[in-house]
Amino acid sequence: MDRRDFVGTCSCCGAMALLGSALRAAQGWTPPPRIPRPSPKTDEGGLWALMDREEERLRQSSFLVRDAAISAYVHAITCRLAQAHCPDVRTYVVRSPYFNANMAPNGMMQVWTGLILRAENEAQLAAVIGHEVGHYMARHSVERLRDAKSRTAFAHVLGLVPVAGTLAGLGVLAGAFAYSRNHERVADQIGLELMAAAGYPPLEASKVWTNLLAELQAEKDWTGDASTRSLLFATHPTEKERQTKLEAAARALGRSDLDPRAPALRQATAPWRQVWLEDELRRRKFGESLALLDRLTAADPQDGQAAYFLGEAYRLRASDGDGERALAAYQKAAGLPGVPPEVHRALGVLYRKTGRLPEMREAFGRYLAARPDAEDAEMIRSYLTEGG
Amino acid sequence: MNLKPALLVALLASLVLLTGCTKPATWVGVTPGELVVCERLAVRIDGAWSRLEGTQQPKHDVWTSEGMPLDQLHFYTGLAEGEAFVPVKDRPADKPIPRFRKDMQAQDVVEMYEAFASRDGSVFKLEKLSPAKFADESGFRFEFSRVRKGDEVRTRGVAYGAIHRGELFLMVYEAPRIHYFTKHLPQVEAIAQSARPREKG
Ligand SMILES: [Zn+2]
Repeated sequence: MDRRDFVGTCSCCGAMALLGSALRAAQGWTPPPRIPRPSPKTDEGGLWALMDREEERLRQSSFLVRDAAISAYVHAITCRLAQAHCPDVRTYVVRSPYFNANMAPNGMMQVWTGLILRAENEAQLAAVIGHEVGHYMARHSVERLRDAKSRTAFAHVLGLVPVAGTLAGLGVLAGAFAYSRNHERVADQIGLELMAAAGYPPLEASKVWTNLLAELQAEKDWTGDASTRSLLFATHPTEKERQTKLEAAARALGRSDLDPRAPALRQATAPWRQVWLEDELRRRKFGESLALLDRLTAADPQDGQAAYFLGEAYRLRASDGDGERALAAYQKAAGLPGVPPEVHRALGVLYRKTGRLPEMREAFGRYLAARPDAEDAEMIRSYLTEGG
Repeated sequence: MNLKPALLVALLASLVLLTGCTKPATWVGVTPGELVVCERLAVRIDGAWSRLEGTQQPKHDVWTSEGMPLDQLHFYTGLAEGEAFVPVKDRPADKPIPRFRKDMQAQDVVEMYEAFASRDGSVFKLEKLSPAKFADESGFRFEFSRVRKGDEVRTRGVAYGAIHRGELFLMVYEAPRIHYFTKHLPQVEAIAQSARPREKG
């Protein structure tokens, strides 16, 4: 599931009519038996072979996160959800700051770091993984393969791969799996069932939605961009309805007493959070980033790292008044636990610009004391000696 | 890493698209000796370089020694307040593109370049930033490494920059970490040492 998958890209706007039957079908649902490897002679077998090649490529990719701890953590969540299917699924954590996860029919599962960063607790991460496992268990990709509309897309992909080699991004393949709206609803429902069975409160799934929609809206508000993704809301009013339906289905399942496991996620991601937040700001989607950082700082006002990156987001956005907002955020962050030493560099740079030299020297001094071998230490030292 | 012909063609095609010219840009050999880049930056060269002609970017020149995309030397000559490394207009889609401000410090310029160099999802890492003379100014020098998103080639880069009379002058050399970077580094350093700004004619 990339965000397009999760939010829904299909043009089948009459799909709402199908919703009732889809949910009814899913509610009487029990996990299917493990999926055997299809014969290479079948169309499904061909699809698996294609995915096996993609998986080999992914294994070699420098964007694959090879840290054993974080990979094991995410894979364990997959396994809790996939139950008996666990041995058939491989979980790959991919360094990319976008909200994205997807599952190939051969059991290759990708979880992108931008998605993990956005999860407020383990249950929210499980919600997205559960949705993907839902597509896998229901073998939606095979249905797509045999669907006349997507056959062209697959043919395109199959034809493209041998020619362009490394240029054929996984996104191209993901595009071929633009599931139907009905498939999305079934995967949503299966995901909720799997969450509950694995001990996660299903209602967290709808919170993923709420947060995502808020970020997209914030981005639209900032850029004033009426194109691309914001068009999603203009042309697909049913997206909000899907959120409502998901929430209703989650409430129907109950189990709100279950622990969403927020500390577990926080602990597992702690060594990576700074890098992921840096990656996040490089997207330069400041509407989305500020919505995310507002959420993080509100969730834990003592979180120095989130407070620092809130300042970074304002500084980089550089709209009217953002300089003051950044300064205020940095000053607050500087007194909080967990703040990276870069906050003192950020303060020093702002003080230097405004000619507040004593404060500049103190801030840069604190930065250099913490990071004497920083990559920019020589540059900073030159600021300390200028102006006598 | 050996580059497949199809990949080379695709990268070149994307370069031509990036530079936004209407007729195909062509590589032309640069005659060694003194020359002035984009009428704004005088440099002295002694190696074999080619420059891309027909890009229709008045403040940006791109050179190569080994051939694109193996190595590339970019000159940004006199970016003014509000300009960027790519042509920008006043439209929503351009809003996130970082623009030059004349009160920028070395860190800000590095960050602006980083945003440009990682806009396709490439991973950029600043390795070193230090003060350096460039274009008759107390400027800066930085080194970086990058993993290109398209082909995952690991590159190294070195850049010299300075703000001269409110305008940004920056030269950036980038080549694969293995072999090419160190091979051409001395030449690139010599070009940087020779660089002198020319006032607008
Ligand atoms: Zn989906």
